[in-house]
Amino acid sequence: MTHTIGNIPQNGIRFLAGSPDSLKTVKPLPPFDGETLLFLEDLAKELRKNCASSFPDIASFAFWCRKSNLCRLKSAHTYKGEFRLGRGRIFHIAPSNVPINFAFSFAFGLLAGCANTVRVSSKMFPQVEIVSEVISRILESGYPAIAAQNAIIQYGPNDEITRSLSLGADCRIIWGGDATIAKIRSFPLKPRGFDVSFADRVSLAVINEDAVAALPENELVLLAKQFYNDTYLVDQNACSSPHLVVWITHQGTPNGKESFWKAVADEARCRYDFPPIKSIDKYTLLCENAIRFAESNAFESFRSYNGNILSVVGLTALPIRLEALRGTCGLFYQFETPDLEPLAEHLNEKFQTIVTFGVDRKEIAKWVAGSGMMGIDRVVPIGSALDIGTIWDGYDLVQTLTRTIQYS
Amino acid sequence: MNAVDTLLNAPPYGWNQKKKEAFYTRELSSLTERHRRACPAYAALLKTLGWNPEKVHGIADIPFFPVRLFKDFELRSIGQSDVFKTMTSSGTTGQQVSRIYLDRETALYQTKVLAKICSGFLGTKRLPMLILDSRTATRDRTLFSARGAGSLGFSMMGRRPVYALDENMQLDLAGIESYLRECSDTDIFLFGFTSIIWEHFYKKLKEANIRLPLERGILVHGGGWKKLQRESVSNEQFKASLSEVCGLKKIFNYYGMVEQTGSIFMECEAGNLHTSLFSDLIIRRAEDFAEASIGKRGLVQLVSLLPASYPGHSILTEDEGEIVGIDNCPCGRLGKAFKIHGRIQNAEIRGCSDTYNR
Repeated sequence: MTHTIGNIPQNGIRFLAGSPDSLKTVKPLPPFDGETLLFLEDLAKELRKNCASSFPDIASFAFWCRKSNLCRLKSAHTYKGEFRLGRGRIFHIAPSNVPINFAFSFAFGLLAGCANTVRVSSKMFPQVEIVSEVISRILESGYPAIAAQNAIIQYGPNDEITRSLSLGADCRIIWGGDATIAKIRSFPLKPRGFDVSFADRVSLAVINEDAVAALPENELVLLAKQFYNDTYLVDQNACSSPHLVVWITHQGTPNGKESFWKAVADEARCRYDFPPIKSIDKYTLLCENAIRFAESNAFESFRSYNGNILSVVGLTALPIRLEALRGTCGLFYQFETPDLEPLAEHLNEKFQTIVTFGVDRKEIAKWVAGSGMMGIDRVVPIGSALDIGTIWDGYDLVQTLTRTIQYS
Repeated sequence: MNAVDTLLNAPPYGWNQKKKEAFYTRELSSLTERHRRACPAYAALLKTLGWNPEKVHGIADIPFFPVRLFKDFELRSIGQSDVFKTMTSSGTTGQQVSRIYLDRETALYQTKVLAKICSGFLGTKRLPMLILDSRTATRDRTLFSARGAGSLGFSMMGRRPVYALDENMQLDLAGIESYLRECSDTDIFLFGFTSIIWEHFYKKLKEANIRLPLERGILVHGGGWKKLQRESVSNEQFKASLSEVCGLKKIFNYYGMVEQTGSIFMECEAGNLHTSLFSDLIIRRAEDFAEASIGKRGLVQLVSLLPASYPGHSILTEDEGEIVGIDNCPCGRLGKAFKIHGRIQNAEIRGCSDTYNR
């Protein structure tokens, strides 16, 4: 049974893909099922052909669901000797600030073999319209098993719809701020259902100063480029963009900080769109934080590189409520320490990612795991901060969204 | 003698920039130090900004902070019990508003300075006054909105002030006409907010096809062009339109902020805004905050010697402007002549996933 796009039923739901029937049907598939992989490959091809060039975020999604990446993911989840199956229906509540995340969320659910109801923001984003249109078209072109149980929908504030969709869900994925999550949580799921919540979080960088000081010029430029991609590219608004740079340094370490920041500032000067409002926003945040964190007495005088494009505030100590110390549009804080110990008490559940350079990431992961802290789900190289994947915010989503069939 | 008292005894546009620069560098430094001692939040800010009094060689070296901070924090250099009145910016519903804390002395100087600046345009004799607004805007005396404070502040410059709009913002035509008959042999001072004059005075007169005899009126108006820009009304059109419905010839725009009430910038006969003895203005390039050269656009920083009860003597606005000349305006007023080009544009917010273009 097929339905036209933009069909608005009486109850106020607009279907960008799928139909009222595809909200109800549930027939789980095994993870990385053949039809699912073919569908995502098709989607990637179609997006790259038509619309990726004008939207970098669509391009990024299309790049992620290209064939070779899906194959890599599949081989990373072999589940040898295990039989797994999607858990059932997932109700996704996509964020209202990052248009493309609805597509990632949908793809994670598909890869797990689940039926998906994806609620996109009621704000109109061209990316959402474009990608949904392509999804809808491809579904109808020959993926009956997927088409039968997946829908992308939009509706305004409506507790009754949210309540009924929640009641039918085996799992709910909520992207949003603390208030959104609390609100959605008030609607019960099926008795065995559970929530996966992607709340607002913050991230930091850990850099070995010796390693930076030893870098030849061309590699320093590359490092700066990668740091730029983690930060300026999204104005530091992403959960995984660092605000604080922790320098691992010792007495007698040659100065790597200055050359690093200069290289970052040069990269930003070439690439960053820096209208006056960003300059003002950044300076305002710097001043606000100077006042908000006055009691810590930890701020040194800030330094600028290449005019206002990069601002760096040295910290003589790590203030309490470190998670609230944020930058924007190229505002960073830095702290020197011989080892990570001073961080341990600050890394609460608000902290998501550590991006690193010149340190052993396995050692950091081990330190996190052994320290009893609540924060840090991810330790990745500088340049990979924004690479969203099936493992996110501490969840292996394919694992979480599938069930294992035990036998003996 | 207080620095402001010194200036009150001088002609308001009588100092050249060089003389003013030396005086301001000294006085602004001492104001900065005074607020540093009295306002802990400001002291913390100065530390982060790297304030060093020994490195101040001119007005441009005085630290400045974004005007938005008055919305986020209670910034004052006086005790709670010394707060005489609190002024707020006139934000629309739901927006955060700036809060400016005044003691008696600061409030008094604001009034004196405003009178001094206006005397150059209105003369020293107090004229009958018509306020092109409603009395309701001034009701709550302890919590002043910029609009109410403006009307009340300026009403001190006039005699027997009468409001042209009733409680419902409707034109009180009978009241206006009878007042004008009484004052038919003298100049009349008119005051109002630019957008209110346009919406509730000009448009209503135009619609009703009424012509008021205001040939002897002197209109001073301010409060921003944001609403009029949306209707693409320029300063020139504004003047011509008002002249058409009521014969007004002398129309002076002023530029000012609730954060620096009193030391306003008046538009001269040549159409330029002017710094008076009581304030100065610096245009900064957004990309590095360096001073922009004459004729180049940039962010507007305002300095004033009046803010003594709160650290608002040097603030960075979100307006764009340019200096058109120094000590050389054809109107004869010394100091800086400048233009304001309105609010800077909002940027689009970027979020989590522009990850591919590398």
